[in-house]
Amino acid sequence: MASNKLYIFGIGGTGSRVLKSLTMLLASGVECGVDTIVPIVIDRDMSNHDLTRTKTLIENYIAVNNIAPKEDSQKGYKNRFFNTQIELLNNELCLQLKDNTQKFNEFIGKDTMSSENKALVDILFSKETLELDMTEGFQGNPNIGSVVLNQFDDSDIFKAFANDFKDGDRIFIISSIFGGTGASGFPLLRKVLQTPNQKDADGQPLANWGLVNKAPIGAISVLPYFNVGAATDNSLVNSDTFIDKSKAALSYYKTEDKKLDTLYYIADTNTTTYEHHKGGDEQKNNAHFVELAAAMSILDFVNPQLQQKNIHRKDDKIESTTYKEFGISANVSEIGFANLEDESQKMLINPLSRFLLFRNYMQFVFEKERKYQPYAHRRFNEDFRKKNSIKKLESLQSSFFTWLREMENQNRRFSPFNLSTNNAFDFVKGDISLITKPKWSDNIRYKNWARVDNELNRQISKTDKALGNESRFLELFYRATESLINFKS
Amino acid sequence: MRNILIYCLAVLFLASCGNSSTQRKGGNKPSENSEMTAVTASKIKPVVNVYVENSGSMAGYVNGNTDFKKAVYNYLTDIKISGITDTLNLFYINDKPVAKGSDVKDFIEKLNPNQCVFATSDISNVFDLVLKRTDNNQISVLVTDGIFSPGKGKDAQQYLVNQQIGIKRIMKEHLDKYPNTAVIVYQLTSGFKGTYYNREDAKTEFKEPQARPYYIWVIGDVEDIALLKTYIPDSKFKGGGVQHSYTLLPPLNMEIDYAILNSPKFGSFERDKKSTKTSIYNIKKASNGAHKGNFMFTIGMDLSLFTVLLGDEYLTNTESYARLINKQPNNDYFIEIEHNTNPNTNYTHNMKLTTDKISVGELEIILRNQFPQWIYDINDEEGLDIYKNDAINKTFGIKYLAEGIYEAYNFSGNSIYTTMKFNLKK
Amino acid sequence: METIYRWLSSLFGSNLAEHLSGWSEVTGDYTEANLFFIIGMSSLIISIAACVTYYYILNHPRWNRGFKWLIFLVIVLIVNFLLAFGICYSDLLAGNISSDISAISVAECLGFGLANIIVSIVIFVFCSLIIKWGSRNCKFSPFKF
Repeated sequence: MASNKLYIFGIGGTGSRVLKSLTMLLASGVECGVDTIVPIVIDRDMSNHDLTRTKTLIENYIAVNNIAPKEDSQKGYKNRFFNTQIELLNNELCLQLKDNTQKFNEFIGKDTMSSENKALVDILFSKETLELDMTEGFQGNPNIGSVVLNQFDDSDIFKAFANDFKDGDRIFIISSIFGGTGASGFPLLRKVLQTPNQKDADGQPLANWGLVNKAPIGAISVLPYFNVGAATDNSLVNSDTFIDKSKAALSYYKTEDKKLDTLYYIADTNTTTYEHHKGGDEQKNNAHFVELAAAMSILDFVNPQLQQKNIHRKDDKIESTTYKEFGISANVSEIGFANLEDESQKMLINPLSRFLLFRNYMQFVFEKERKYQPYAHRRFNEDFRKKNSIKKLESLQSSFFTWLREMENQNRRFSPFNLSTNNAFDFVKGDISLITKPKWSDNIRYKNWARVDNELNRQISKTDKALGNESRFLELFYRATESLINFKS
Repeated sequence: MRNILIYCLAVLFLASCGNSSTQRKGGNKPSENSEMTAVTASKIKPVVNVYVENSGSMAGYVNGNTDFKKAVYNYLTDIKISGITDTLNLFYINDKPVAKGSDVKDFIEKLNPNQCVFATSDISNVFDLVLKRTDNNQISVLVTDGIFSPGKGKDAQQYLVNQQIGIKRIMKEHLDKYPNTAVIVYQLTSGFKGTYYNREDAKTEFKEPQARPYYIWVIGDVEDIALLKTYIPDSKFKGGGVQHSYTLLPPLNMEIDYAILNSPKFGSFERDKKSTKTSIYNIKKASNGAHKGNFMFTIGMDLSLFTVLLGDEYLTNTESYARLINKQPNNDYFIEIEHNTNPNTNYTHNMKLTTDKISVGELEIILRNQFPQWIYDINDEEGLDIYKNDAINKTFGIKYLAEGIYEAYNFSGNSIYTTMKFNLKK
Repeated sequence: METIYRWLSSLFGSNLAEHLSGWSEVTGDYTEANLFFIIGMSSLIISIAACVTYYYILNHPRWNRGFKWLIFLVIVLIVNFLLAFGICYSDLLAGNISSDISAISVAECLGFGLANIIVSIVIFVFCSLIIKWGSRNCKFSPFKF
């Protein structure tokens, strides 16, 4: 199919973090059924650190993607790192809910209500809730969230989304079922997207809305996977109520049946306790495997080979919704590649390992060796690393490593890699033999990083000379890591 | 001709082997003879005619058992027993030859002063007579005191010059008929007791024997002469032995073995691989040491044949060799000649060429007929007072006789015996 | 080969050069073994072999710094020096040198060893310049061009 896009709405903090995981996967070159991803984070809480991290990450990704060669067998480009394009609508990641009202009761305009309505409001919402300062999220109150989030169809990004939408594009929604923004936002958003003739704030019909209505739509609902520690400030977030709130939201979601093509669920009973921060810069939840798995659901949704399974339509009408849940092969607290099912292995092992090898090389070896190795000769010199795209690449690599590290330190650890080694080939744990069997002549001669250098020197002549240095750099490293790491199930 | 000369070498070699062999018993002469006989069997043997001058001036040499008699007797005997000839004829010669049979012993015994009574003969006349009786198959041996006798009242200088011209003509005519003729002159000494006649026929009496020079001339075909010299080298002469000898040869243009040696040398050079023996280049003078600034190289020459024919004295005389560079006479190189003592090579003589100015081009070293200094030395130019200017050891006018013969030989240019060519390049 | 060594003959003298060319005083010609050729070819082969080993057989990404190339060069020089000096010196001791060649001592043999060092350096450097281009890992060792 010609260039088609997947628009991903990531709601709340979970949305940001899953999008971050997705970005990491795409950076490492996983197979993706669409050419372009357009992420849109919907959040009330602009200073959310997760959001900030994700935005920086995506901007870095875009910068590198601009210079990354796309896989093309005719041109001889093998590179898959940063293969999928990521676009930001209006160069913005966050669909900011236009709202400058501070307290909840001001927002709903209680003061201007009739006394009967005022009484109704008092019954529905608690005093604390009414006094809530809404710049910091909904502190786990889906009931409030739903009211506020109704405003997002007025935003510029939403208009841009509509203008951009084409036939064949798809939509995916990420949300969490617990907590605030996510739980309430998801069904609301879905409703808005499928309401015909939706108009914007000025009363103008949104462009292409008919296509949006009919577009294939999937969603993932992330169930609890972390607890929140005891409150240290006046926060209304209470872990104990997570489950209750999840139950409440889930029953509501039942009504979503036949309104979505595919609905994914994921949860983890083995929870880590995070520091309790109710929002702002400090809500910086560390990466978790669940987010990675959630990102995989997105890839599952757009997998061309799974279209039959995921989407059941007749005349643009959804006949049935496919429900999918993520599982691992055994309930281990430390997940390695061996614990993943074949499908997951196939998707993850090579890209993640190659990208990590790339990062490790840059971290431990590159600066020292580029002075001597032919592949770098007159190409990758001192000035090379100062180039904008390369600095962003290295920043992204650093973020990637941190991402892996964070996932390793959870209760449910995702640690397929040995992250504390600085050797070339012992960074993968388990008994999966990843490394391609080198030629016996190579095996005798080259050990550790020298083998990587040898491969880089071998591959440089195979890369297109017409490519610019930065592009060639990526092509080179992909070829080299592909040659060295080639897991076949 | 070349083959015969090579046979000479072979015989010489065998002869020297025979002499040095300790296993042989006393009777090695007969076996030698048989080898010699075998060699000469393939050629017609020449006739040897011996002419002893019996003019009055010769009487002093045969007065008693003189060295003269011993030497002549021994020489003729050697000729006979060498097997080189089957016929040896003996003559007295004066104004004409007188046959005296073939019995050498008898001849010598009868050779006394009373046989030498004739007037002094004109030596060029004697020579003429002898030459007319010499051909390809006849060797002539002339024993004479070699003294010219112009007589009283004659202009001696003019006389001698005319004699020389006459001899030159005679010799040249003979050479035209027999181009392969070679001439040897041996100079010996003997006690002379008797009357000496000077150029004006004035007498001087020697009451006691006085050593005086006399000459044995041998003329014949060069091959026969070569054999003769091979069998009877100078060292075999008895009665005082040969003091000097001079051999005149026809232009042989022989090829001999020669080469530039590696040492001794001053400085350095490289050899042209295409002709390693004779061609050198990249010549450098010695840069340090006692010979700084000089270049010297050595040529090894196998002159064994010429040792036989010309004698060692001739060969070690630097005057015997002409030097040309690019066909022009050139004396840039100072030469010295010595014997080759390196047992690993076949060369008999080494020539050292030294210079401080390296001349390059084609260098030719030519061994040729060169008039020897000893004849000049032994020549008495005045011929009057025997006791003046060491005339007692000299012979009046001998130079003119020898020069006449020499000029006849070198009439068309120097008679070249062998040429050695070298190529020197900077 | 011979002309190259001869060009350096100031190091070991023209006398030793004669012996090395195969001079035999008996034949008065260069009929003995041409040691220039033998030693020259051997040195050439050794130098080239070392060069090929460095660039293609070892061909190691940790050996592509100039210092490592130098190790190979030094080994070649030592081997070739010993070859040249050894053959000369053993000929000298065994009396294999023609007696008409004078003034040869240890000094000349050492000089020839030195000449062979110079020749080897040239061969090794030249060979390096030519063959390094095909070497995967050592293409720019030791010259950065």
